[in-house]
Amino acid sequence: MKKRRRFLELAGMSFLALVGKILQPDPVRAFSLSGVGRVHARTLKAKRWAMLIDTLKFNDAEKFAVVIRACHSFHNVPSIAGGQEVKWIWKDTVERVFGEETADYKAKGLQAGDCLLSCNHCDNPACVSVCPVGATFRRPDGIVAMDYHRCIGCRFCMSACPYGARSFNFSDPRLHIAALNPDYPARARGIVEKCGFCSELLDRGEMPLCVKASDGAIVFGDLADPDSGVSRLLSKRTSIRRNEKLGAGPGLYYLI
Amino acid sequence: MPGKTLRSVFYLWLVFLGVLILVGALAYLRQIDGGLRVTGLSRNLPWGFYIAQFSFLLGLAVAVVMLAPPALSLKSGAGFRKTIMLGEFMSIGAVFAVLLFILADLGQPQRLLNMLLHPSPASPLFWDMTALACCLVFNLSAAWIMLDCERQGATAPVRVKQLVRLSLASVVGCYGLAGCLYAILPGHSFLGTAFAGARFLAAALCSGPALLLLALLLLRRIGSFRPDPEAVRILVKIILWAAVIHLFIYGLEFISVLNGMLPQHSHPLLACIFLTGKNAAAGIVVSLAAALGLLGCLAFLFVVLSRVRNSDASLSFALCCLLCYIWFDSNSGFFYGVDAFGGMNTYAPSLSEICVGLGVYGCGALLVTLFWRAALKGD
Repeated sequence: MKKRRRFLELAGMSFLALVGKILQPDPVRAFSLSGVGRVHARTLKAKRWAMLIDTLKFNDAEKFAVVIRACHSFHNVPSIAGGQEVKWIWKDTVERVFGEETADYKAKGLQAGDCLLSCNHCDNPACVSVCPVGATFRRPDGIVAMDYHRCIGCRFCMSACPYGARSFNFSDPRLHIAALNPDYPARARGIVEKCGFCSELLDRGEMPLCVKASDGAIVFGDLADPDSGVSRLLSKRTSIRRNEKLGAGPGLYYLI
Repeated sequence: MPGKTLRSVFYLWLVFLGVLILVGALAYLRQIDGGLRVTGLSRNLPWGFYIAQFSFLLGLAVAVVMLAPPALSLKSGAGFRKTIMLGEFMSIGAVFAVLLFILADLGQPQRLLNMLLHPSPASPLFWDMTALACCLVFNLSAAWIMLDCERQGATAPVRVKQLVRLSLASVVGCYGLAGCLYAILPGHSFLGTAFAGARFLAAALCSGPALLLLALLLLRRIGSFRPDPEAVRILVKIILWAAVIHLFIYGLEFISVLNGMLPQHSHPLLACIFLTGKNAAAGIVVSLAAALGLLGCLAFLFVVLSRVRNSDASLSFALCCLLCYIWFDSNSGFFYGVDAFGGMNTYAPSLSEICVGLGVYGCGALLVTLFWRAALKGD
């Protein structure tokens, strides 16, 4: 009896020691949390990337479609109908987007019609703090990025995002992609995904796809730089952000 | 009742659990094959049935842990200790079921250990995991110690009691932190109050002992095991007080929501009760609200009327009502939700989800049955 007990105790201890060894912090990590990976000569850099959407210039359905198509076709975003859809950038009615803020006092330009939506790349992103594995992180330049290989698919970030910017791959996305783009990885089933401000294009010195496709209706730049395009536009025009009272500090501005 | 009948009841029960587990396993294979699209979940309501069971069962497990310190410190409480030991085994079964529900909910279950490889204390899920681990370690060691005490016919040493108190604090603390899970979710703002953690704890302290007591009453009816009357009395008292506290907190929440009438708080509640708001006409919300109200009333009767709790039959009925009420209560928050655009969304679990859930409950029950069988062999 005593021997068996001693054996069980020893076995338990050794198991604990083994677990401790496995859990030791690993010096090599797949993704560096300090953010931007390879630094190119042409890499676009900023202290705080932000995006301005000129709602006055988005005045017909085709304009929205062009921008959305540019993003979704390049990033292999599957087109799935119904409640389990996946979308990185999309449109919705002004009423729904700015519901509680402006229902009674609609600003000029926001009176009717649709509005472009995407991840807001917040200053205090709820998705980052709730992620139990650190698969979503905020880079020093303000981009809220994702490690698709670390995500366990718990969907806490989806529940926590106040802007509804995240989508979950309920089924295999490859089954719903018309033409697979080999230049960008398609995601696996069972993980969450969202817009990443085209960080891979910024590394190559290019602007995000939606900006390029928008014909000047979307402006992208460094908020911390007073001479940047976005800073100058913000000082000239009236702008609003979605649900500011939450304190998330969204990086998407709507010019009205 | 003769031993032979008891044995056949036992084997029938095992077969029943086996069927449940088989159904669950088949449904889970289908889910693994097709992804979570076989569930009723959507982009706007990404959490549902699995997560609800997860928090219900975790509460159940934590509650039984809270019963251990009195069991260890009572001087003449050998009978009570035995009862609590059965509770510890039940708790282990619940923790096991919780783990299975987490696995069932994940989109990438094979990456589960990422939670240990990349611990993130900012996430309430991290604290859920810690509560779970504390619970498991605690239950195993407490059951071990109690078995040891029983074998030697002695009371537990002082140091062990202190250890038990410490682990109790950590379990309650972690569960409280994990209860703040919903405070971050803008879509479930009705749940997002500072009360949530306390309300969940009170609900858990109802459901854990209630299930234990129900199982004991059942054992007494079909078997030869006689639970200690003192233990039954203490359990009823604990359930009573926890129910009072739970209903009180619930009342406060309703009143503060209705007094304040802030849209983000009152809309989900009003939509649930009066079916206001967009897309809220789903029948499931009505039946849920009705069931909650009815069961709440019955639970309240149980709390108030002493005659109800003094007879076995009515006590069992009241406990069933109470358990159903707590179960519905921990589920209800997931059947509707406001999305980021102010739209009301309703949700109902798919058949596949329900089958997986039944299978997981079957696994937990099987584990508990086998543990109890071993622990009660002498009786």
